[in-house]
Amino acid sequence: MKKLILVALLCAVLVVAWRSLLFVDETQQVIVTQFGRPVRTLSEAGLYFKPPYQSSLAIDRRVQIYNPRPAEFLTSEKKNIDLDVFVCWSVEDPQRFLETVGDPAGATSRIHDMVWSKLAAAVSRSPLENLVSVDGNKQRLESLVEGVAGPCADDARQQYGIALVDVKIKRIGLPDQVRESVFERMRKERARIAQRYRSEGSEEAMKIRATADKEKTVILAEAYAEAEIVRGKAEAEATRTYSEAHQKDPQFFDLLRTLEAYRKILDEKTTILLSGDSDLLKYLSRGPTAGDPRTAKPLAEVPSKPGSSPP
Amino acid sequence: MHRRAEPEGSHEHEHGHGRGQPDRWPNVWLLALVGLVVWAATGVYVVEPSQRAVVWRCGRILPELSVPGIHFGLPWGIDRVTRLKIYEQKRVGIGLSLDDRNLGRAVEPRRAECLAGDRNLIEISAVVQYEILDAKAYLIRTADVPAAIENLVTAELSAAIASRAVDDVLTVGRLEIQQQVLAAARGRLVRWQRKGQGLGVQINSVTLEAVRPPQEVDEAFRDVIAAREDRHRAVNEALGYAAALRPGARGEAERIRLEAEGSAAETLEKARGEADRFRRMAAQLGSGRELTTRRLILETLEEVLPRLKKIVLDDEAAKKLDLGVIEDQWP
Repeated sequence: MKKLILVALLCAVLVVAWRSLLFVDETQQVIVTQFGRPVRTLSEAGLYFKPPYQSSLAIDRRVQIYNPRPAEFLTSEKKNIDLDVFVCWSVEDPQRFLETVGDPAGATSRIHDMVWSKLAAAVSRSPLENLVSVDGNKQRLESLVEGVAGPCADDARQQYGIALVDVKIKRIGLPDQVRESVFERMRKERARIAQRYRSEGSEEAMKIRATADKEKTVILAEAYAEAEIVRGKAEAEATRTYSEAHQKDPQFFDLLRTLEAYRKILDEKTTILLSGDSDLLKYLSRGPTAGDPRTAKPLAEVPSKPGSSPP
Repeated sequence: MHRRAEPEGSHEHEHGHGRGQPDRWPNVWLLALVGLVVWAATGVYVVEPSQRAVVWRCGRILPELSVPGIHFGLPWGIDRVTRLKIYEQKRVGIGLSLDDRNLGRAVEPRRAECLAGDRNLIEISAVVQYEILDAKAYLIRTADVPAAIENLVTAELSAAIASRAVDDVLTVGRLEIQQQVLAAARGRLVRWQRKGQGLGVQINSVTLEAVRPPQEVDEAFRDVIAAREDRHRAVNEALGYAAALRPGARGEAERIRLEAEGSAAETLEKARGEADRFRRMAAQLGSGRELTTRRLILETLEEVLPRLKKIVLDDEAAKKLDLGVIEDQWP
């Protein structure tokens, strides 16, 4: 019986000791309350002692990331966009936080109300090109968000004891109902670019072909010109050769050339009328006495070249 | 991440059990034994070679990290040990889940989609590598470091995409985007540090993984690539045509030139031969000139007359002839 009392006493001492010890973690701040009334705030980690009748309340001091589903915003030109926003926050003043907000869920709902409404107002004052633009001067995403984050951070600190560590737009997207029309525009734009590439290709190819064709024509024309010059020179030379030779006996040349011309001119289609009196038929019409060449009419006039003697 | 020791219950039970033992052994020894066992089970810890351990004593982190080996700390309730692989390159996926990727699953399209500067939608995903610089800050600053990094880097990536045309993003801008995002994200972490909220990590690289148009317009983008190929091919074909044409033309030109030279030589030789022949014939004429010319004329007539139609008339008849009779016979 005595032993039982001893054990009970020991247990009571242990419980009291346990209630008097307080470990404060690096990740926490602890508020010590006495019957519900805050008496101390412990911000440094370590071991503390307190009267056993006081209780403690740990509040996470780590940075919390609040990243709800993307929300739809309207720009100044009434264009719908989806903004995925995240807020990093932490408890700065645990006592105020406890009095005004209470727990992380309450904090996020207040942060949401504050940040999202200010952001919606800021976005509705700016055109879409302030959010997305290839022109670096127009794109002011950073300053737009800073303009929202600054006042929000002040409000959050003063009202709720919350520090907004960072507010950022994580992603800029489009709501479902706009996506399809954007895709349609993208498809058209792509088709235009593809068309341009193909036209450029055929243009360039045509130029190359035409240039090649031109070069070919020039090369051939030059060759023709050279060929004609060579031929002309040869013909001039030949003419000179002929005339040098013919000069020796022009009458004889005339005869030979005329006879040759007959061979070519007179063909099967030619009908010739021969006079019975003609020199060719002289034996037929006048008998053998006509045979003296010296008295006969000449078959052809071959004038003898006066003064010329054969070599 | 935080490795806490076994739940409270088991030790309380052990205490209670010791107390309930009959008084055969001295209670002091029993208590000492139980104390030793509890200490051995919770106060002694081993650190693996790839790890460093952070010790939380009464909630406060000791400044020294425990190196690999066996360590004797204080028992449960006083010391808590967190082991960290502080030299490991840690990775976090942007617009994709690394776990899903290892399982071969595709990028979740809507998570990766964002709006480019020319208001085109594009899907982009990346992998971020980071390492722990300050173990204490890494443990206490935020509950979820990968999520913090993922959010920060995604924001910088979106900002980079939002200022670029979709063609830049898809082609030449890749490397530039990676560097820009890396620099911006590092700058962001430095700002956090200045606010006293440094995450204790260093981002080492941001690597873009898949950069592609959304599936809905993929075909149109492919067609652009095909069109670029078409252009290339048309030009190459034309170049091939030109390359084939030029030698052909040069060959043809050479043929024309040689042909001309040949025919020139022919003309010259022919002239030389004929002139020579004429000269010889003229030389042979001499005194028999008249007879020779008659012979030549008759020879020609012999050759020519057989193929002609001949009508022989005397002079009187010739004067009355109506030439129309003959003309009718012509074919």
